[in-house]
Amino acid sequence: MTSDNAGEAIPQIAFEKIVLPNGLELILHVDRKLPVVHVNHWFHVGSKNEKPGRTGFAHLFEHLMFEGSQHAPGGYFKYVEQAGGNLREGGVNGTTSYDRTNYFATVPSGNLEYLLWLESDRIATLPEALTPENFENQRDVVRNERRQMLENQPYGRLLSLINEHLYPTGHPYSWPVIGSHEDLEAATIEDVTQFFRTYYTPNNLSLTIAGDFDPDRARQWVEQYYGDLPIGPLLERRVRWIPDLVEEKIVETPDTVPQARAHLIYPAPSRFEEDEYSLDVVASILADGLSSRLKKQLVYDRRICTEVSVFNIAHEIAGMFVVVATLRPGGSLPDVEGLVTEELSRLAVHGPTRSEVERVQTLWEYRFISGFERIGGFGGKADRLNEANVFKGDPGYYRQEFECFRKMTAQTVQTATEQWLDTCSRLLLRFYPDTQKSVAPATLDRTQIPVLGRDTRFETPSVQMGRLDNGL
Amino acid sequence: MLATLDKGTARRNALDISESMARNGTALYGSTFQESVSLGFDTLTRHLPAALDLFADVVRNPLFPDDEFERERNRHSDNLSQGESNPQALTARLAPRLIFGTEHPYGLPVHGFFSTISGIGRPDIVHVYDHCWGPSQSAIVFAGDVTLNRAMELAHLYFGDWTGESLAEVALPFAVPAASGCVYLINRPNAPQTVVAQALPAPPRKTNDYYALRLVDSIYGGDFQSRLNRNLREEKGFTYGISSMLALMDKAGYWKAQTAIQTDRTGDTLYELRAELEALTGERPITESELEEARINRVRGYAQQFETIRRLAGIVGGLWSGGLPMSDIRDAVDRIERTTLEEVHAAAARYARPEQAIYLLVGDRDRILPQIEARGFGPVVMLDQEGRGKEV
Repeated sequence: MTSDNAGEAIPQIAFEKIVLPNGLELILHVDRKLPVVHVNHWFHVGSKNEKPGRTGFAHLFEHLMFEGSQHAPGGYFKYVEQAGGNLREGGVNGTTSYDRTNYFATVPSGNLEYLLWLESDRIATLPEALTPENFENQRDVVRNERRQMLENQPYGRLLSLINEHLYPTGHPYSWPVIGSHEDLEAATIEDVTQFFRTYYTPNNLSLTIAGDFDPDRARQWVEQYYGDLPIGPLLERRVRWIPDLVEEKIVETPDTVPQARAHLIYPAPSRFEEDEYSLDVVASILADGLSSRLKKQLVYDRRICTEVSVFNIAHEIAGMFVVVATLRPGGSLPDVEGLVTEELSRLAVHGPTRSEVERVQTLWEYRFISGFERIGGFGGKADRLNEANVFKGDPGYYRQEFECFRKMTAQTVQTATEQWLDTCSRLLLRFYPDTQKSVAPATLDRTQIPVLGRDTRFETPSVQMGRLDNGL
Repeated sequence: MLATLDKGTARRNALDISESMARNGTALYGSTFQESVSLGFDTLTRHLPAALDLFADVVRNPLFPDDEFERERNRHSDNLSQGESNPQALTARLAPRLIFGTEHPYGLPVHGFFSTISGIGRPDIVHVYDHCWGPSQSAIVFAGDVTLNRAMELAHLYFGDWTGESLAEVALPFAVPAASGCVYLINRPNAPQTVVAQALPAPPRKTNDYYALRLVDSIYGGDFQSRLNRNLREEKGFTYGISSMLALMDKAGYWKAQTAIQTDRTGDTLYELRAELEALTGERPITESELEEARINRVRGYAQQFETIRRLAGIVGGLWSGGLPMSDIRDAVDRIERTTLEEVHAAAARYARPEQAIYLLVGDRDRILPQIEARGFGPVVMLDQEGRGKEV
């Protein structure tokens, strides 16, 4: 027993899992709070599966999935908006990560069959329906997405710098999900068909339906609309590969930002490893609320930072633990890094207090349960069921996660900190304000060697003197 | 004021407040809008009384300690200069200033300007607290597993003897928009994209045109299938996306479309934005089928916004602070369904006025200027990071 919450029952998400003969895994969860139903597709493919020279392809493909299918020409959104999909509320979208691509939509309960028809039509007929114009248009859109999110955003290059410097060459996380302009330009419509036949198959799909619907009818409709999708090839899965930095790596980068920002980045456990939860607790102890360790020290007591955040991000085959500190003007990046390092060492040597662990458990329980409020969206129930099913083979794995948090002790937190975070095998990524105030160009030709500049005379500091009456 | 509010009461210092909220599984969240401020939390039902006790202490007994104020002011000024480096945020912050003018409260960004924040002292925030915070100008919204009786009991217990001043009505000056026909530009050297905003004056929230104008906005730029997004994203591929929105306040509002465009298409985009706006009341008026699609999407998508208790409480709070009846939640679908094509055309004629449109750009001046000229826009007025004109 570690906290007063331990007695409360674990909240349940009642579900049913069915595997179709073609390998499609269907998960059904009924929740009748609102007269709406959410359909959530997870394909077990992401940027991790991309070939060299085709970075960004999984995400580009995700865009193409919205360009319309054989029996729903002219674009998916036209149909889903008419079925009541509400984009303003985030009710319809697709997203791509290193490991998976998901597509989801929420519509009024009466439109479930229509939505399943629409969704299955693109999975059945996309390459036949895709035109070269649509392909080129979405490539331009994605290149603009890259410019907007990565190149023209303060600190926007952070993730791509992490890809480049935290992961070794050949690691499937060593390039950004959005890809490079060059590779996006090189992609062809033939790549689409091949990618589609390999990865957009029923045996690579986990389909969750959540909300207000009749499970028997839903199952029949899925059999009807998805049942004849042909089985695709068996896929080889990449195994756990935590990067191993032999020594501390420091990367400094100027940006059009007014404040310097320090990032201390540590290789961390992959998704669903037990240590993932311990490091979640560490992140919360360090930077959740004003009384957390780093916020208190850096923002509140010493006032050398405007903001401190800590993220423990676990992906399928590796994770990372990231401390982000935004400095007040004039602050020193190495000083702040030093203070963070000391705090991590202290935690590794002495562990957290019991009350720190309990506070995090209480906060975490609230967040976990409040995620259950939504059937869709990130962290909503369908996403949670699908994630656990795709990576763990068990949609109900949230129960073990819940238990894992409940059983957390100061000792487990200390051990995990010692193992993962009390080390110099880490990446320090420093953003500092570029006094030129201009955005760094996206690509630089390093073969162009500049000529040496003209010598200028060194203007030495001027020295002025005065004397006090006392002779000083 | 809001940022310093939870940094100390007679019973608790800033760290105690944060720690106690966390022990109840929650944290305070606050938002400042043009005409209201909201402060709230959500928590498991079993923690409600303890969390509410703490919340009441923060709302009713803040001390605004000197050093806490100083720290929050510094953080705020850092955040403002941070916002200036984000071209999308900068554009959103300055567009209202061009619509309402530099002297109008609606033209001032909610979070202020970097250059003026240092002029605010602790007495200023105490003054605001003393004159604006009181029971007669406030509402508490409970949403979730709680009955009205229980909510009233808790409200009486923690806020029953709360006293405070009420706010005098703020007199608003007339809006003095920046000259239309000009293109306002903030230079961002080497930017790979230009952020472009097209802004127009709009009516107050309580206008009779409300539902018709919402539908015009959906069709023009509000929905994914809108004219602007189909044109600039789905046909031309100039942008990751464009959307428009209505910001309607008690006395006036504005209507704005905003996007980030690849730099070499800035001139083409200005041209398209003007052409689309002209077409609404010119050669391509909204058709019955466009209206029907927009109505259907609003109606069928309506239920979804009520999924979380936090969102629900926000909707209720917004109606309350806007002086609107709670029955709007129930009536909205019916009002949308009953909106006719004539009403939509009339709303477009009143507000989609190309001659009043103001264009604000944040991007690479040297690469943009020739494009603006080539498309026949101008003159160009250069602005600084706070929207003041400066010499070219």
